[in-house]
Amino acid sequence: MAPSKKLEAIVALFIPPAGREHVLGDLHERYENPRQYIQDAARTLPLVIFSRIRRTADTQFLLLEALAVLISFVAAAWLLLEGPLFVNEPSGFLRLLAPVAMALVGLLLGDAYADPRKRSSLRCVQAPLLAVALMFLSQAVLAVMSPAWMLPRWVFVAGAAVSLLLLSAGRMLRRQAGDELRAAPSNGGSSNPHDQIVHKAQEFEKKIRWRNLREYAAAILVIAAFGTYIVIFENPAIRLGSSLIIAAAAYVVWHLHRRGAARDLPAAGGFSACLDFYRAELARQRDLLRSVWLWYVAPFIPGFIVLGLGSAQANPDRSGSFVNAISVALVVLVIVWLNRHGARKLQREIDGLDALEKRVSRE
Amino acid sequence: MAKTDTLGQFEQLVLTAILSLREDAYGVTIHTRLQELVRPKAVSLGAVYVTLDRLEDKGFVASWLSDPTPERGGRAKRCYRLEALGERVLQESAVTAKRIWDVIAEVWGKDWAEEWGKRWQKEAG
Repeated sequence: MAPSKKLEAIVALFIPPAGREHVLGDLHERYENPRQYIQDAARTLPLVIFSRIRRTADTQFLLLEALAVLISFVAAAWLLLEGPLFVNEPSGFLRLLAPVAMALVGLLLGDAYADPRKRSSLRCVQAPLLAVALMFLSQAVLAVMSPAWMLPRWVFVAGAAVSLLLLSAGRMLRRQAGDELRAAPSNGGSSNPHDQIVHKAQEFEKKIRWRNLREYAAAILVIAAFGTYIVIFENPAIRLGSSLIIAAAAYVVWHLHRRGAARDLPAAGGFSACLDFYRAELARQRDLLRSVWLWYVAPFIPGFIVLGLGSAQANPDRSGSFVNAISVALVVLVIVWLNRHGARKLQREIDGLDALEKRVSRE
Repeated sequence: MAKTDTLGQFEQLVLTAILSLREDAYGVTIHTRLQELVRPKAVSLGAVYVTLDRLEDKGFVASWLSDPTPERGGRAKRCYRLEALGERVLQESAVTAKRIWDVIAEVWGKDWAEEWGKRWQKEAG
C-alpha cells in the first residue's frame, strides 16, 4: 500500500524543502489509506512548518532587517513629504508597522522555504521579494478595508524599493561571508570527536572574523556619517555630539580588535589541545558579549544625548525627536538582548564540550 | 550548567526513545516508541519533529540522512543519535526522577510503591 503520486506531490508542496525528504518518507511508511494519509499530513505539517521557521529565523538579523525596513519608510517620508511628518503623529508610527510586520512575515516564510542545498545568488533576493510582495498586499487590503491606515502612495513605493535594495544587499553580504542560516545539521554522521572539535573551532573562527569585519565596516560608516555632520552643521551641540559618537565608534573598534579578534586554531595538536583552545575561545567571546553594555553601548550614550539636545535646539519646529528617541532606545535594547542571548548560546556550547570531554575520557 | 540545558518532560521522553532505539532511531520508530512510553496519552508525529529539531539545536542529539529505502517510496530516513551533552542531561533527569520516586514512596509507603511496581511490570509484559 502506498499513497498516490498526486497526493504525495500536493503534500510535498507544503513541506519546507529541508525536511521534505524524511517527512514524506515517514508519512509514506505510515500510510494505511488516503483518508488516514491526509489526516496524518494535516496534523503533522503545521508543526513541521513552525519548527522550520523557528530554526531558520535568525532573530538578530531579522530585527536588523525590520529596522532597515522601518528606516527606509521613515527616510522616504522625510524626503518626499513637506510639512509635519505623519510619523510624528501618534497614529503615524502605527501606520508604518503594517508594512514592517508583513515584511517580517515574508522574510520568515522565504527563509523557511529556501532549499538549503541550492546555493544560487538569487536566494538572497527571494525572501526580500516575498517580503515586498506581502507589503503591497497589505496596502491593497488596507485600501479596501481602512484607507486611513494606508501610507502615502509614493512614500510606500519609495520605501518598499529601498527596503528591497537594503534587504537584498544585507543578505548578499551575509552570504559572501559564509554566515548562512545555521539550520542545517552541521556535523552529520561524523562521530570522531577530534574532527568534530576541529570543524567547530574553524567554523567559529570564521564567524568571529566575519562579525568583526561587519563591526569595522559599520564603524567606518558611523565615522563617515557623523564626520559629515560636523562639516555640515554649525550648531556646537550637534558638532560636539557627533565628535563624541565618532570617538565612541573608534573606541569600539579598538576594544573589539584587542579583546575580540579571532585566533587561529593551532596547526598541530591532539583532541585535548584542540578542545582546550576552542573552549577558551568560546569563553573569551562569551565574556565579551556579556559585557557589551559597558564597551559597546555606554560609549555612545553621551554623544547621542548631546546630539539629541543639539537637534532639538536647531529644529524646534520640525523635530523628529519622538521617532529618534524610540529608535535609539529600541536599538540599544535589541543590542543588549541579542548579545546576552549570544552569550547564553556560547555557554551551552561550552557545556557540550565539557560533556564530550567526559565521554571521551570514559571511553 | 546554563538554564537552557534543562529538559522538559517530552524532551526527556524523546531522548529516552532515541537511547533505547540505538541505531534505528528515526521519525516513525521514535514516534512508535513514544506512544508506548506515554500511553494511554497520544503523541502526534509533528510534535516529535518539533522536539527533535529543538534537541538538535541544543546539541543534545545529532542527525543524518540514511540511504533511501523502497518501503518509504525511495526516500531517506533522518536518523538520530544522542550526543555527549544529551547523555549527560538525560542522566541528570533520571537522577531527579529517582529522587521524586524515593520521596513519594517514603511518604505514601512501601506497599504503595510495590503495588505500582507490579502494575508497571505487568504493563511492560
